[in-house]
Amino acid sequence: MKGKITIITLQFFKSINKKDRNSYTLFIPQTLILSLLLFVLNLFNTPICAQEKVPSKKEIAQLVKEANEYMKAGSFDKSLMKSRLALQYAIAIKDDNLTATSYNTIAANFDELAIHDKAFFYYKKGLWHAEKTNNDILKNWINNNLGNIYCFDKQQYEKGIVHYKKSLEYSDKLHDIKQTVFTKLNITWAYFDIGRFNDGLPYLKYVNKYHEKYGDESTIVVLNMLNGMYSAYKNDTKKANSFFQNAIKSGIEGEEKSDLSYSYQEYSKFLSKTGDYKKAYENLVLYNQITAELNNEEKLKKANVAGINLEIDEYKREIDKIENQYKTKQNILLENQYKNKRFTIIIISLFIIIVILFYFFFQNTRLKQKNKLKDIKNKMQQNMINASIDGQEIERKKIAAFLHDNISGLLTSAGLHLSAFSSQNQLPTEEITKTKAILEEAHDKVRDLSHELLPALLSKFGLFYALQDLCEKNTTTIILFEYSSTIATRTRYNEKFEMKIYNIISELFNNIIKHSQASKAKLILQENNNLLIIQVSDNGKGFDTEKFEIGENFGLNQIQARIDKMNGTFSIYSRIGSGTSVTIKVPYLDRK
Amino acid sequence: MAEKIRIHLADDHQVLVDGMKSLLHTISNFEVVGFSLDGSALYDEVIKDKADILILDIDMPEKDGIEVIKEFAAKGFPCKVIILSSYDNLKLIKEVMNLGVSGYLTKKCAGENIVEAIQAVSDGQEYFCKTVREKIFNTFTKDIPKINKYDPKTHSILTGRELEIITLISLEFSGKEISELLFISTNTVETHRKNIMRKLEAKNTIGLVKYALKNNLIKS
Repeated sequence: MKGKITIITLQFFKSINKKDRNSYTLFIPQTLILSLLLFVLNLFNTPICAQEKVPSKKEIAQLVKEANEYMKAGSFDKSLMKSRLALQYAIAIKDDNLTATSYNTIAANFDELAIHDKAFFYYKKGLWHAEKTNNDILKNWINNNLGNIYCFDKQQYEKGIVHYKKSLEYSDKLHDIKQTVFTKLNITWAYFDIGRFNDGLPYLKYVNKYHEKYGDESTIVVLNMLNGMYSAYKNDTKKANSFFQNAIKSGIEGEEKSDLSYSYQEYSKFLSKTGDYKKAYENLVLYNQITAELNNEEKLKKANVAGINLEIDEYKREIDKIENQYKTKQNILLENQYKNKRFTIIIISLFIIIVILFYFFFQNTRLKQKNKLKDIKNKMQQNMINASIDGQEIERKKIAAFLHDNISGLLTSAGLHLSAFSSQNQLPTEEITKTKAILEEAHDKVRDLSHELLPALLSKFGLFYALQDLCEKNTTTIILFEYSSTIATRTRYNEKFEMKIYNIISELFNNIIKHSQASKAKLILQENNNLLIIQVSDNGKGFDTEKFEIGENFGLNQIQARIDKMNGTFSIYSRIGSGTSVTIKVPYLDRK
Repeated sequence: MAEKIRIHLADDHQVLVDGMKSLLHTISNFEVVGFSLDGSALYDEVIKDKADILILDIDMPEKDGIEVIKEFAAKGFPCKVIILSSYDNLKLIKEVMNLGVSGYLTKKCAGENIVEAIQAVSDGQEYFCKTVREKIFNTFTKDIPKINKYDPKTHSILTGRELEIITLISLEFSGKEISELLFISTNTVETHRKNIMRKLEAKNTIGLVKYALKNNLIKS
């Protein structure tokens, strides 16, 4: 689950990265998110990991060891208590090795108490845990002990042999020949018990070969007995007799009552087979006698433990409880973990959403700032344009006035003096005529220039005269400029305003003449609610207003700036092939 | 010799006033009775001088020529007014004429035509200097294909103005129409017509048309 969340987060940010390739700022949030994520997860993991204080592995191992020592000393109850405690701790720390060892000890205790079903139950549990570890010694033991229970208590030889063989594998692996000998002895016995002498023979041979070196004193009785049984099977009476008697002899010497009883039984069987019934009977009596003794002993043992028998039942419940408790605990933990995870997911999702929102907010703010900057830039540009236009207009007016007033006056004066001179002297010479012609030409030049700078009509009679004149002046054989106005021609506005409007319209006319290829243009003037509405249209080639950004060409940006400054609006409608129409609406201030 | 024509000059350039004075001084029956460098008190000054004719510039400080004429028009003209301006825009001229001005001279023509202008206006005619007159005539006749471009020098008997009038008469313009087209009064048109008939020794208008056709003023 943790991994999944992390992956989702990464992919999410990858996709954002794709969207916005220019943004490197995201790399910071990404690492930040990851570290935060880990932090959050750690926060939630900490309570999960936190357990009630348990002893270390060493201490648990020590407990098991003590339990084993009690068991060897016959204090089964103490051993059981110790091993139960060990089991509880081992389960708590989820240590399979120690759990298996604890189960093994518990089972061994029950085995010793001859409560085989319980022993069997705990061995099985121990084996289940042991399988998860690589503790071969332990697996070896448990398999061997399980084999014992299957063969000698449950009489399920096949299953027992399987366990024995497994035990054998571990012994081989561990090169523990002593254990191998022991286990092979058990297998031999099992096979012989079910009459499969040939299957048991290889094991018997192995035991015979190594017993002297690796075998245990306690198993010599059984070995002799098994050899006896095999000889009996092979009908080698002499050998069989010798083996059985050896077995009985060493059984009596070693006080191995259980093994001795089996030896008596098997010998008795052999004797009855050979027809020596009297001896067979004697051995059988001996067998019964020892078995009875053994049973008494066992009863005694059981009686001894009878006091703790009830406790044992209780004990079993306790152990089950430990497991159940643990299971419940685990469930609660799982549930908590699940809850925590859900909580974590919600927190992380929220966090991601917040980050995204923040990111968009940040982007938005940046965009706004950018736009603001752009606006300011635009405004500055416009102001600059306006300032330059204003300056231009002022200069124009100055120059025009200067030319008109001074130069023109001076030229006139010169002409007048010249006329006075020629009239006084009555000497019409060519020089004087030529001078007059030059003066006239100078007059024309000054007039043209001053008119271009500031039309006299505009300053003297106002915008509408000037515009009418402009239309007429621009009309040629190629293009007709039509003038149409619903406003009285005598109407006057503020001088600066008139000059600005005149220049704008003049500029638009120039555009039409230069670019439109139109044959007809129209200027329509209207007034409405303190707005002067100017419409300049032509029947020229037009242009694509989609592709054309206002202000790129034709000095339209200057016009736009000028109109913006006057708080007016400026709109262009044009389609390729169907002419252009420009509409300007400007509020006028004063009006005469 | 009759009484001298009393002339008042109004121009904000002293140098121009001086030039004008020196030129008009050469004409015996002209008398410059006063001058103003701005238009603010011109009305009273003209009355005080008992001027017959006011030579007026349009561009003047304080109160410009147009304002002055408007004032004259409102109060009644105390004298005849000839505009002397560097403007030669026809619309402007027309507007000025409509206000009741008698003559219009561009500064370019001043040296050449001022004497003629004063004389004509004094005689009760409207007067335009040559450039203005030609401009007026050409503006509306440029669209009339019947008119031939003529060279006034080839018709030494008639003046330029008289040639314009005879052309328009031949094109069947009425006296009133001609007066409107040429920014002059019907009286002036009539005076010109009589002069032409006298000069050409024509008995009636048909004679005038015959002359126009004969001299290629109009196309037949």
